[in-house]
Formats: sequence, structure tokens, C-alpha cells
Amino acid sequence: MADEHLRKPVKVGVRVGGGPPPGYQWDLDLLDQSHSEAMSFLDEDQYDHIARQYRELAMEVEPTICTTVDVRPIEDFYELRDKGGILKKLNVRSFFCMCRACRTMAALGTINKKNDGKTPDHVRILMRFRKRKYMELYHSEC
Amino acid sequence: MNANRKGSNVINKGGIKMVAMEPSEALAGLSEETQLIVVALTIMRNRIEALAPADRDDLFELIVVWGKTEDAEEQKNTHRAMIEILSQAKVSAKKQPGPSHLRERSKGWATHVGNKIRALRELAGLTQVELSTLAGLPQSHISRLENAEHTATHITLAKIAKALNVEVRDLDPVLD
Repeated sequence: MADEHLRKPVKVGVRVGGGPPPGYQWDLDLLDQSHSEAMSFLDEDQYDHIARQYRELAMEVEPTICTTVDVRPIEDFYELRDKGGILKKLNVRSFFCMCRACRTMAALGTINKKNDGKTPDHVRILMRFRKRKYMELYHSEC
Repeated sequence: MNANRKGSNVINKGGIKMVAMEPSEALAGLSEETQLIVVALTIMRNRIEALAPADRDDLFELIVVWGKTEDAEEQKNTHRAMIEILSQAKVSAKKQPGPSHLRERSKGWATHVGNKIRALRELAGLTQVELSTLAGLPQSHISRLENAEHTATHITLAKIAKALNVEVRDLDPVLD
């Protein structure tokens, strides 16, 4: 082109980094323990259903307040509850924590609750331990 | 055990006399089975002492829970939780990918539920917006459910059922 000598080079760059996928307000981590616990009693459709609910929460500005998913606070983490429907007779409780600084949610563990009562103490204590370990390992600088 | 044996130290702690001995001295005279138990307890004690204070607190709280529960299943699960803390099980997390298409069986259920919601909504003479207002749900969510793009939770079905003045079971078939 005639004006080639007049053209300035254009720098094009892509910032490589994390951050939620498009449409999502929060990143979502899954602890191996949570996955294996869930797969011990959920079939693939049921697991997928719970995963979808997590993604619903991850689309919210504030995941702990969602009109379509039952979320309740426990200590300094949260419990996602669902039952029936595609879960049939299962009463699923899935626990997650959040790092607000880097906008990440993490699924800590999943159980099948036999009744509608409060979360068993041993579950609450174990999730507290996992949350601490997860935050120490992945969010110590947040 | 002879507290005055040469090489042994007698400690007086709060009026209680204790003898500090070398490990081999402590085990001498015990049966092999008892020696194994003592060694196991020593290892356990050392491992507990090495835990971070918060982890140790959690472990002790679990021990109390384990002691109080009479349910065998609860005891087993509490025991498992204790092992996880004591063994300092490594935490490993993976980023979760974005949404995927509904699996075939889920699609079948979602389609049935979606058709039910639409049919009952139309029977009630409501638009999606009106239903969403009555149910306290986003209109976009009602649309996704009716189009079988998402699987509803129990709380969502309960809100929709209440808004339509029907029972949840009218929306939620039992899967085979």
C-alpha cells in the first residue's frame, strides 16, 4: 500500500488470567472430596442437576441470595438444599464457601440427608475443616 | 516399674509423681500386644500434637460428637471425618466448566415439567411475566423451565405450584 510507511505498528495483546466465564459473576471450584461424595449416591443426571444449581448461584451478584435455589448459611459457609424431582427420594445438602476477594465459590462436600432436620454436627465440623484447608491452599493471598 | 531405678527421673507435677523413662524402659515388662498399643497411642498422640490448633480443636469437637451419638451410621461418619482431619487429607480443587446441554433423561424430565408449567399457566390465563411476579421468580427462569433448558429445584417448583394454586406433584412426575 502507498501509505505503508505512514502506518504505525498496532500492539495487540490478550491479558491471560482468571475470572468467571461470560454470563457468570463468580468462578466455581469443586473439591475432589465433594465430587467423590456426590458421585457415591447421585447418578449422572442428578449430579448434573446439582452442578446446574451451582451455576445458577454463580450467575448471581450475591450467590447466597437466589430465588431459584435454596441456600442457607452455616457458620461462615453455606448449604445448598434440594430434594425430590430429578433427585427422587434423595435429600441433598451440598456445602460451599466463597472467596469474595477473587469472586470464587467452592463446593466443599455433599451429603444425602435422611431427614429435613439440621445439618449433622460431624458434617458441619468437617466442612469447616475443608474450607480452612481450601482457603489456606488457594486463597491465602486474597 | 521402679521409680528409683538408675537413669530414671521422678517428676512431681501437681502432687502427682511421674517417672520419665526412655521408651525402651517404658515398654519393658509389657506384653507384645500391649507394647503395640502403647506404640500406636504414642504415634497418635504425636500426630495430634503436630496438628494446627484449629485442626486439633475440630478433631476434639468430633470426638465429643462421636461420644454423644448413639446412631451407628452417625458414629461411622463421624469416625471418617476424624480420620480425614487426623490424616490431614490433601485438598484439591478443580475449576468447573460452563453449562452443558441437558442429558437425555434430564431432558425428558425437564420437558415434562416445562410442558406442565406452560399448560397450567395458560389454563390460569397468565403470561410468563405474571406468573413470575406471583411466584417471585425471574421471568427468564420461567421461560427456561418451560423450554426444558434447565432442571428445576424443589423450592422453584413449590413457588410455581403455589402461584398456580396446584400441588407440586402436579408439576413433578416420578421418574422411572
